[in-house]
Amino acid sequence: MTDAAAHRLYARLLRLYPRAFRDRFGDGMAYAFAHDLRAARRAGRRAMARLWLQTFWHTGLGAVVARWPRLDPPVVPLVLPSDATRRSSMRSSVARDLRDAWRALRATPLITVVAVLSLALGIGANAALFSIVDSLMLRSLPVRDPGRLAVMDDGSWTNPIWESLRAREADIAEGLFAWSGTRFNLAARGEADTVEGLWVSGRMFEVLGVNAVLGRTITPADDVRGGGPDGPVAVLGYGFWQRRFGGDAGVIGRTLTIAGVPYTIVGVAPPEFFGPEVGRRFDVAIPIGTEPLQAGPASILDARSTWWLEIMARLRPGQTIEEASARLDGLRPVLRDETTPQNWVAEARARYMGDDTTLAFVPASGGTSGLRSRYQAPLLALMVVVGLVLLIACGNIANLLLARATARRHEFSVRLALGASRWRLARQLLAESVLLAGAGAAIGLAFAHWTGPLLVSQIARGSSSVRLDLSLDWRVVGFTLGIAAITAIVFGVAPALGASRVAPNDALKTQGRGVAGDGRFTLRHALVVIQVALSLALVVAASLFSQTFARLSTLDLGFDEGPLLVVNAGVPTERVEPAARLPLFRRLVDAAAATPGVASATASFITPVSGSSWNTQIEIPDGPDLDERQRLPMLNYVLPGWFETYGTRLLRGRTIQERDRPGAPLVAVVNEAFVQRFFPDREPIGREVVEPPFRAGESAKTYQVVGVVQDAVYRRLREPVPPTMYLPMAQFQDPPGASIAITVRAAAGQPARLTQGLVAALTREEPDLTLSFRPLTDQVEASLTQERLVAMLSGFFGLLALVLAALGLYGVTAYAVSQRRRELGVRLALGAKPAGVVRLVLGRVGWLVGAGVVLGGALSLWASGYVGSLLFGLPPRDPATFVTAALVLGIVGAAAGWLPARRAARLDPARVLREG
Amino acid sequence: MPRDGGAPGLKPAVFHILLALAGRDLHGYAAIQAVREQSAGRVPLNTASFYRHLNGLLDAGLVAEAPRPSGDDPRRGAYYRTTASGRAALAAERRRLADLVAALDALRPSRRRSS
Repeated sequence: MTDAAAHRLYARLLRLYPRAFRDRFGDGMAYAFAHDLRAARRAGRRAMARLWLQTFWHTGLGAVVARWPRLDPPVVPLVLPSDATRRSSMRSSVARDLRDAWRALRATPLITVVAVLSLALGIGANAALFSIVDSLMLRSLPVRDPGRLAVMDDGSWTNPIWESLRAREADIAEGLFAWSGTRFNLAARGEADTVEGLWVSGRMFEVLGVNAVLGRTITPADDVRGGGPDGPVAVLGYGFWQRRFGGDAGVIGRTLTIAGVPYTIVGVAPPEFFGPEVGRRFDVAIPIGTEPLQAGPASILDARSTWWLEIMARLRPGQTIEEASARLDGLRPVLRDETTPQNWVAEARARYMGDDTTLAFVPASGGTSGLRSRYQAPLLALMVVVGLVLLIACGNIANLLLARATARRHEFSVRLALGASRWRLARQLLAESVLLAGAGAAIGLAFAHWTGPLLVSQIARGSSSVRLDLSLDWRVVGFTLGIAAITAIVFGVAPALGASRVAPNDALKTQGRGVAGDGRFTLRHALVVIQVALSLALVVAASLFSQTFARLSTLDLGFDEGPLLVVNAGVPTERVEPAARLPLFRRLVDAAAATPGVASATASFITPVSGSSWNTQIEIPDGPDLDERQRLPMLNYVLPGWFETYGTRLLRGRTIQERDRPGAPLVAVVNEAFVQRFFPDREPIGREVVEPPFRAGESAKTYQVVGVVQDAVYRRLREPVPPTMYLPMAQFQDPPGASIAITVRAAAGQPARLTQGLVAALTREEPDLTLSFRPLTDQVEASLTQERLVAMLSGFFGLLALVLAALGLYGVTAYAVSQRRRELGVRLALGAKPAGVVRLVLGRVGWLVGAGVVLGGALSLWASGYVGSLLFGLPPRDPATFVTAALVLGIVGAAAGWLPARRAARLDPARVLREG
Repeated sequence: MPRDGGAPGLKPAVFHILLALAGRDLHGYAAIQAVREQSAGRVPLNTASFYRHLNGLLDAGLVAEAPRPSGDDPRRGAYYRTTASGRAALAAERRRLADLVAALDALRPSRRRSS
């Protein structure tokens, strides 16, 4: 750059200044710059670069300050160091603040460790829960432009509906796809090798905008009935590819046997793509069109009343969800024409896709998730709990820092007298808080990283397929930093304010000469009262949740699950005709019963608490007047001996027996709830239950009630036992499915140990069986996952809250005693009894706890209304729980106050007075 | 003490500008050079920051414009000098620093020696 150009540039820079400033100093500045420029040119390139850099920076800054003088502190007297204007000095003073803070924290290691640990626990718990909330509720699907995804509301759809929509895809949105999550069995025979499966339509990967990392994805050409030009093809999930094939690129073209059908592997999905449903992760995806290959004549592709597919759409750019929904709903008449189940009775047909149905899309940028809807309420409740714990921890630390700040009044006043600004003192205290919070956040993040997966594994006990992506994303880290910053401010500001009230001439006084009580430190007391109140709320919550879990886990299920083992046996569909299945099931049960160690064996279509259920519409001749919804009892088909094996007591009549065979009169055994609803105050035995026809051409079935059994849990422990009908499996008239749930009762010991013997015995009967085993206790426990998790966590946090509150109370009381040593010494010298001193100290504790309990009680009363749905067997405002919690806090408070009170009573008045 | 409660001191750059203009009348660039010299380069004053501080000092009345020597190159701009109150501020700063050192020495002699 020539000198002339440099001067022109500088002149232009000067124009940044306001005119008055330029008029006054412009000449001088240009002159000075010219000299600097000449010197820099002589000194070389580096000096030149430095000159320009500094000139740009300082001129810009100077221009800003000249326009807004308030930004610049007055030259004299200076109140604040010019942080805003001088980078380097800011850096060094921040470093100095942090160094001083570090020294100060190291001087009181116990307080520091306690503070950092409580913060780490609080922040870590928040971060861990938030990472789950984040992956479950906040994150978008890792696909292209997730904001334009919408899912068809609500529930599942039949394949005929899907095909009819697919044909009109272009009329609705940019693209549509259907999928269904399921499990596939990769084992050709023997014990099942189940993986997470996904039936997908041809365009799923394309519509989502997901490309294969290896090979190709599934295309519409693959999704035709019976398979496309490449035959049946499969795309592997990335994790599965790594686990099973060690990430071998040669996997493309290899064969995978799914339910006995060979599929060619054509591609691997990218690592971040888990499928359209959050909380599940698919291992293998195959085209919907290949379903008939697996199911044969039992294929559900043309079944008009098998609802198994979910449908998602990608909207066109600019298209609203309402518009897409309107287009979808406009197709309802077409759907009705094309997909109405013809075998339904006329009344049901008339309602199908009728005018009281509306088809619509709902936003699906975050994907869909069964897990989300199930865990939303408990997760949010826990989020509040951990938030409160953090608040209590903050309260504690604020108190600790306040106490320290007060103890350091002398230091502060000396520093003030030496010319330190109040701002600097406050800044140092803030720096201490920032250090504490930073350390807490760092440890907390590590803690979250470790506990997050632990929490998920707890959730996953329910179904082994819960896989959440808990990697730290910007949202989790931002959240953690955010709460760390907020906590630093929350607990740092109080002591900082306190410090700025110190007067410099306090330095002239010796420390702690005052005789006054501690009445002026009301902030500390308020903090303790709030802590006690929040702790009470948490203890109440913990107690409510634990009682819920305790009640559920000791609930009389109506069967003894301990010795029972559930064996799910699948028969090869191509080899065993539907007609041959029931006899095969019988033979399998007999073989199981003959296995050593098995006391008895039976089978049913449904097993309790398995997640599946079956109900049917019934009518009771001369029965009570009940609407349709109330006439939907649960249903199960069982073999003779079922009640005996399960240990469900027969109350009257008889159980299902061998004589209830096809052709014999249809019979039913019902439970107490059934009797209560349908035969109140009447003798149930011998009465008739009518099942009206559902399909056209069928006739109504009439069952005779032959027995009443005790109520037994059907689907969920939480819900009241539903009215249930047990029917003989031998009288089941439709072709049975390809699998059966055999339940065996162990003669002694753990039922899981029977697995080996049962595999041998059952495969002798039919070598191509696929088998899976699960003790019924597992199934029951898994259904209580949510309650166990909530009880465990809220218990832990309740305890933590109690400890923190106790620490807080202890700290405040101990501090008050140390401040009042002189006063107490004088009292003792004047003849006060030690017991009186204890009373004096404890009286204040009692006042604090009392106020906290009242406040906390009110808070809990208000908050408990929101947790009602999470409780079982007790009201949210259970008086006993509230009273117990208040007592616990009272005892903890008394214990926390007792130690300092005792120390106060043991003061030696002579010594205290001499010291003073 | 310049102010009740112990005000913090002057910024080094401001202190040096007052000092540079205390004994003599200087034009801007000469003042900048004087600061650079008397601080042995520890206060690397840029033209823009010099004029920013100068503006503040003029507003506060600690520095005033001085008459230009006759026959001087008009491109150099105005001449400046430290006023009486500027010199008072310098003196106060000097006392403040001395007190500080004395207080530190009295309070923490061991610390002083070790550092």
